Amino acid sequence: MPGIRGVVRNAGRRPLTVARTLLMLAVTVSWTGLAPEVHAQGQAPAAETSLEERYERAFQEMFADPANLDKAFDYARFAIQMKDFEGAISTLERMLLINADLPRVRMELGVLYFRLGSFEVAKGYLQEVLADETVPAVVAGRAEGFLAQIEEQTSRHKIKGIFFAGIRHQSNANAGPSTTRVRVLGLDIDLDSTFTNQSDVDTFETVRLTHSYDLGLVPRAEIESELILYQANQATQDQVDTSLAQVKSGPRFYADPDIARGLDYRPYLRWDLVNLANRQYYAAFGGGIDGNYVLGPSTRISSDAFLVQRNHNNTATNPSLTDLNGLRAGLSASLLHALSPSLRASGSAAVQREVTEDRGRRNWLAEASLGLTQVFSSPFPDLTGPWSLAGTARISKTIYDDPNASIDPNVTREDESYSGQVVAGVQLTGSTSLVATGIYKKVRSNLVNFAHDN
Amino acid sequence: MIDRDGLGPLPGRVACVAIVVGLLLPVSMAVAADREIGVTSIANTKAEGTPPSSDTRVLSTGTRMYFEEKVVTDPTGRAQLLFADGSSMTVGPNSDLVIDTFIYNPDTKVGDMTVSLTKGFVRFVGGRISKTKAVKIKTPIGSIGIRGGIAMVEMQPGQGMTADFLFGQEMTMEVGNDIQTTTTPGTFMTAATTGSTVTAPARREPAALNQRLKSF
Repeated sequence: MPGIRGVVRNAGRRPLTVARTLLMLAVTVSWTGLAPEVHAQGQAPAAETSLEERYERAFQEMFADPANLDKAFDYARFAIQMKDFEGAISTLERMLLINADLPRVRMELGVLYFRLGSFEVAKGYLQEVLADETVPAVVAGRAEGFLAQIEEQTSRHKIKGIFFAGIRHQSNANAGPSTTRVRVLGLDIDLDSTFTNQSDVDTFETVRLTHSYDLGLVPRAEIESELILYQANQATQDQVDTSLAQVKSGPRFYADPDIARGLDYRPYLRWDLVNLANRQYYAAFGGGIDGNYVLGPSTRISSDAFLVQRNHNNTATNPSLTDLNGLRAGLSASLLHALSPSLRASGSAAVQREVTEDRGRRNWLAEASLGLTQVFSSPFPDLTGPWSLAGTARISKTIYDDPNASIDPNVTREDESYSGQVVAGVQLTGSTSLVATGIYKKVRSNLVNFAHDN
Repeated sequence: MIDRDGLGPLPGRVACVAIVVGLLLPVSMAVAADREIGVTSIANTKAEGTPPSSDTRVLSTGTRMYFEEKVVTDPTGRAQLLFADGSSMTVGPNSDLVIDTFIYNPDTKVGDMTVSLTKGFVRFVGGRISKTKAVKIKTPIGSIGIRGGIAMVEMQPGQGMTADFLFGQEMTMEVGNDIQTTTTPGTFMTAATTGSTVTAPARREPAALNQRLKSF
């Protein structure tokens, strides 16, 4: 989440870089009309080979004997299990050519078109089910349920949300140096041990809400807005208590497939408000453009470019925060590739430039990451959805323009950061997951003040 | 003069080869023409099929379909054709089509399929072929390409062609050099004549879409 990373970086310059996460346990809840369907797509196929063989055999048997309806139903059943919804649809539509008075078949066709996202066709079949007075109440109720979901999906307004909360322990919550000897005004001084690395526990909560309004155009265009709220409260190191609010909004355009198939982009305006230790740290306003490009059924590229003006407020304890005022610009790209239905690889690269009023704080940041995510079938399928395990390695380099005289007028700061992250997740329900994360981060710096690990 | 292989002088050998080729070609062409590519999975009175090397017969459930077969339905006739790759095509009343191309390798699960629709309605549900290559439905006006999906195509002489995209990766309509593509389910495109342009994809009103679906 770029916004949160942004908070971390900014918080870190007050006065020491703060690296956040070490170990956390969290629950994430998402809500969206299609959440169960989306999660279902991520499930690892169990015994795929044998199912595929049975599906192929069922097709050959139906192909050899199309008059046999039992064989046709068998094939439709296996096709659904294989997520070959088109195969099931053509088979069930054939049933209706044989006998149009089959409300349960219409019901299943409605469900299949719903799963494909062809909501208007699904709606037609489901309305025919409800119009049939002989339909059992259970079937009618199910049809009404899907029709309600279709209304939601075909509404021009769509809202999605995710709530993520947890508890986290950090070995170095304040990102303090491991040594008490640091540089100040170009001299070595001994720091009080309370300012070196301190372990702590914090609770954190994140809310992300996305609203889109379909403008009803072809190719599709919509107004997409998002709100991100984040808060972390330390048990003891409350000087690094952080909260963030970020709003982004703009029109998302889906390119004409004859010109650039699979491309969408959104110019947006953005507003950030960041508090540190319950005081406003800075506010930022700007804009950017983000986009996605689907290279194929298993590969997608996302990118973002932004420019914001940050304005800090000086405080009694930190009267030079306005030195950090200035522009921040960033360019990032990420690639997500499905190596198999249950294994995904990702990579990202980003460059960021900060032009602060104080030249000693102006810097370039370059960052790259690689990740792998494996989805497993649940060992307790009656209790949980699929499990997942993800690993990410990240490296970054920050180079400052000039020395910071308050630290060392003769040394221009350069930092290198390395981190590794492991995330284990268990889907508890269609929209709730339990997540455990472990992160190790090491920062090397040519100024001892900023070298630390966490 | 007798040469070493005993087939006689050269002119005689050429004649012999020519006869062999002359015998083989019709046989192999007949094999291609009679190649089974699908089956009639259901047919209502009255739908007829005409394979290239056989007489016209009334289609009924289980009737095998052949390469280059012509299918015609009367004002009350309907048929659903199921192809070896899992594709299916429901043919509406008053329709006339020919299965021009059907090549499918069940091992690699790729192939090629083209249908010429002279008039009438078809609803195409894509199988394996359309997952990797657009299945083409040609009409006297132009052609429609369907990738990985479900589409409904209507061709009425004097009125033009219309294609509704119900689901899938994409559907294209091509008339001359004019091509339009849609990836949005529930949209349609039309072209009136061979010289006209293809209309930009537009959303079909739900009631109108379902009315068209009932044509089958």
